[in-house]
Amino acid sequence: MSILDEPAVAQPLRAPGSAPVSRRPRPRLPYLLILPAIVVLVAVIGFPLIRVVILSFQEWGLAQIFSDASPPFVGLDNYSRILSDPVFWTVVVRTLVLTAIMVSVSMVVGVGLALLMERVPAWVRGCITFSLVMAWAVPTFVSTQIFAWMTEQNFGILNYVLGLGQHNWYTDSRQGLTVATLIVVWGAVPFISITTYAALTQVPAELVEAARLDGAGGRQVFFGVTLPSIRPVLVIVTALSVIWDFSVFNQIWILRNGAPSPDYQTLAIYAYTQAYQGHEYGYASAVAVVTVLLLLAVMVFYIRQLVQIGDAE
Amino acid sequence: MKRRFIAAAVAAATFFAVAACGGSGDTGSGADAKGDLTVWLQVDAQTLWPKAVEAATTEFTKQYPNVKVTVAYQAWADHLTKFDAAAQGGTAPDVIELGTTEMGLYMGNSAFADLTAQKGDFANSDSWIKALQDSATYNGKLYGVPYYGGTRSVIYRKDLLAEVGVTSPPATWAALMDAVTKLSDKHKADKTFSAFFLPGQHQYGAMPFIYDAGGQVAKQNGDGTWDATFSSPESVTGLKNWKALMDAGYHGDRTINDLTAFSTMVAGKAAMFYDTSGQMKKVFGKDGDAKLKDQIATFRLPSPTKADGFVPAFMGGSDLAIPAKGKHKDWAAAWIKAYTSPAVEQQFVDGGFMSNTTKIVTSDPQMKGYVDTLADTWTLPAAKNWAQVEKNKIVLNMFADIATGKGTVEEITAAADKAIETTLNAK
Repeated sequence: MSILDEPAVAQPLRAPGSAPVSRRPRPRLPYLLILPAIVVLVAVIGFPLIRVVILSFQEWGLAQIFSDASPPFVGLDNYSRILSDPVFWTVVVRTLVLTAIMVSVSMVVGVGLALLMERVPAWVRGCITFSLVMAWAVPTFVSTQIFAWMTEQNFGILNYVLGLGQHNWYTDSRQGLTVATLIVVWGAVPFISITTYAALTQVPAELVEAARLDGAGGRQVFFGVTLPSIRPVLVIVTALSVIWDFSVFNQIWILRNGAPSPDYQTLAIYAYTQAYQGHEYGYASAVAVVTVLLLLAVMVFYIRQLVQIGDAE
Repeated sequence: MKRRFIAAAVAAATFFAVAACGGSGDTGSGADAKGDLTVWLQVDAQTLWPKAVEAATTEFTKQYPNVKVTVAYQAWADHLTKFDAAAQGGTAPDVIELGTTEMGLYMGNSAFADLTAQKGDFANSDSWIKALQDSATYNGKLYGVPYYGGTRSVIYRKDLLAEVGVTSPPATWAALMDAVTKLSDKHKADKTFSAFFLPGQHQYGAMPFIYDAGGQVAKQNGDGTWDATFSSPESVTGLKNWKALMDAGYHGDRTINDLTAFSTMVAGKAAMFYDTSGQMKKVFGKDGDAKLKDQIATFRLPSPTKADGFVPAFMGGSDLAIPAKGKHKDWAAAWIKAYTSPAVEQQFVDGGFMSNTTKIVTSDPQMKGYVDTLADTWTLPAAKNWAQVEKNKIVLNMFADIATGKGTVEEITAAADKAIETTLNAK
């Protein structure tokens, strides 16, 4: 923003009435053109963001809403309340483990499917793409409900096919979360496959051919030529997957009838039940800030790792 | 995540945008009064009894011809969030409908006008259903007017019970257990058949057994703090009775709630379940099977602890309150008076619910089980933080854990009580 102030600072240098003398030509038009967009962005994103951060340092609940007193600043109280809750840390660990599993499984399956698509005849590829797009189009609300039916204790097809009788998939949270992971992977694979396949089609054929002529085997071609070529796409897809899976909510929430027991709670669900539904807007804001910071920490760590690997080669 | 972010901040933004707005009191009374009255009702009113709303407004307009009434219909999922934001922005409605279990939170935060002195102005206030009146009472003062109620009763399929020779509804616990045993024996080969559909995450199926055994969910001490009492000897006895009925009659997922009970009954896989009249009507409604209408009847759940007694049912429903920040409290009271008049209450009964008084009941034989329960109903304690206990799902998970046998009833309730007390007694 400060760049916009510059002309005003330069003003006194001009002789009154004379034409402005521009010593360092700096076109103002681009900034003027971008101004409306910046104003809208600041109003729509910046203001709420700042408000949330301020709110997170206040006590701001029903008592403040229905009295006329202004909400008091409480320093770090909201934050210490979050961080001193032992359940919070269990939930963070569970969320990290789940995210790691969900992301790695969906990446392996997704990239594997993309590699398969490259090798099959065009009509098979067409069928796969069509199925993937259809699966992609299903809202998570619907797909989760269908998975819930399939794993239903009495009438679910999964128990029928596996011959498990009246097995309950949800009394043990590890099994229940496995089902949730399946739903997430099922929903994530189409995007990963299609994007990765698109990247694969851009791998220069002459490079592969040259490698083959030099006597490289399939494995060597993949790790030496294909993988480095599609790395940028994989990095982005993985990063997006981490963001999505870190805040997984719908799949577990719907699977557990809107009342997930403590051993099913991920960070998003914990935050929702603890804060967002609870009319404590100051506390809720603190939870939101912490969640975003955690996600940022995960992402920074992850991206740094990738960059380092890239540099080392 | 970001969307929730913004939602919280929008509430804040509203505050600053309209911070300076303030009320100036009623602008006159009777025919001289001029202005707007905003009423927030839940969407049920729009779908079940729109004519009742019109009738109340017409009646109100006779007294205040120049006041324009605007009724805005709200969804259960977000009406409280909207109310918080509106109150903060100085645009709170003049009348608001709240579920009976939502009242405590707002009464405890001084959100509503005290109606104790005006109680006599409202129709049938001497015969209001006690559980509804309790839900609108905080520290002995009345902060809301009972609107309508909904209670629970056993819903059963006459044909399935008749198949095992039970042709009149069980009137005692022994008779009920006998019917359950006979049904279970007859359908022994079908592991998916439930004589009595009773899953774990259905608190209004479990809690009545606690009240039946003389227990309660929580009680307030002299100093205002709360003790959760799910682990009291009485409550434990009640929960064991609940579990006994489940063990004898339910063969399904114990971690679920009651929302699939009706469809299980439609499929012929459940002979009985314990629920609201709304769930009963679903059995033969558009999601059910219209042919079953004549096969469905109701009876009051007999008591496992008292011979010839019955389990006291949870009375849900709604109250109407006047936000303390409202600008037109007199008008609001007049509108509520019109909307809870006997003629209008009759329309709530016709819509399938209970009126706010024992004087107005339905004669529909299918509703007999519900009308019978009116003799003895209860509501949850009007604790300021009870809503938070529900949001945290402590109670639902406690019941599911008991149902699936994750520990003894004593252990599970003791742990839950501790968690509930922390929440109930939070500032």
